Amino acid sequence: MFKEHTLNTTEIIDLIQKNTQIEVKASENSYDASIIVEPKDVLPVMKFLKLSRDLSFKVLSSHTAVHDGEDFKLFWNLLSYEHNLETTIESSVPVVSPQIQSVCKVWKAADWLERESYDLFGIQYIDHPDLRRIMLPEDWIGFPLRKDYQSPEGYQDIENSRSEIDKRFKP
Amino acid sequence: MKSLVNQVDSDGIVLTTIDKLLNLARANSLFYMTFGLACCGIEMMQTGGPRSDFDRFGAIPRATPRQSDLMLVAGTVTLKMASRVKRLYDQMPDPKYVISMGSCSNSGGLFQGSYSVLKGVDRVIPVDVYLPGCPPRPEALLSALIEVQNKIKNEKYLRKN
Ligand code: SF4
Repeated sequence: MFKEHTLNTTEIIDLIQKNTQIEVKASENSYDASIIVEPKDVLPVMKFLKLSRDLSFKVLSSHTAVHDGEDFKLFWNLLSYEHNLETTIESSVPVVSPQIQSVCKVWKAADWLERESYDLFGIQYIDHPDLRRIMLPEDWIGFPLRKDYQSPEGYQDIENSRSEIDKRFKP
Repeated sequence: MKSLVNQVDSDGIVLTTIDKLLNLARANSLFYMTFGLACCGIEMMQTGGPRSDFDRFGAIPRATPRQSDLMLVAGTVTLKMASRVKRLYDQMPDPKYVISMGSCSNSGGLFQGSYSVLKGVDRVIPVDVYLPGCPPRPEALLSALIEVQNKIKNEKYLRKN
């Protein structure tokens, strides 16, 4: 196998800034270096990452969210097979108005991934072609992976509260 | 109780009741619905395999509720699935039996704190045999099947009510 120099996070950031004039920065205290992007800049940055010849991140391998205090942190894991690169894009939206541009137009794979974070966190993806729940039933109330979520006592006519034995149990 | 075969005299005559004869036939032709919902489903398939061989007790998998007598709820029942479980149970012809296989289907198991998991399948359908384990071994599932057979053999099928 031939060895070739692969770009590191700083070089990717330089490329983004040089070509799109958008301010992005590297995350500081994370195990895996990621690139922090303002929510309004996510779509143009993603377009550049995919279409740029030096990067060609053609694969969106995962997208997920984390409820962190006042914000939802969003992560996109990107792969470039052509240049043997991988990177993580990070952004955050406030819990009170969790809105962000959908990246479905860039990667088709984002469709179901975004539906999943809509299902579990209630993040609204602007311009998503079909933003419905994907795993929970359509008439489910609330978004379960938010920290302030209360488990329901039942669903439709099914009673699902904790049993007496379970209530007595003290760990 | 002597089994029927041992009662056969030299002239080949057995005296028994219609109930017993019918129950014997019913107990040994339990068609179960393949209903693997999670990891317990894998163990159920294993029980159908050659080593433990469910079929030798007359239990044959059917892929439709309309042809089955026994529902084997093998795995985690989510709230989304619960109404389907009930519906499939309603589609089975009487008389019907249910084995709740594994901790998940007995009580929600290790997922009972979850928002989306039903805390015991007996909240939607009646259960005949609860089989503990996570997952129960194939031998345990066989013994649950034999429990159901014993239950059937002691029923007064023709004289219900
Ligand atoms: S009881 Fe255990 S093995 Fe069975 S479905 Fe639940 S977690 Fe899986």
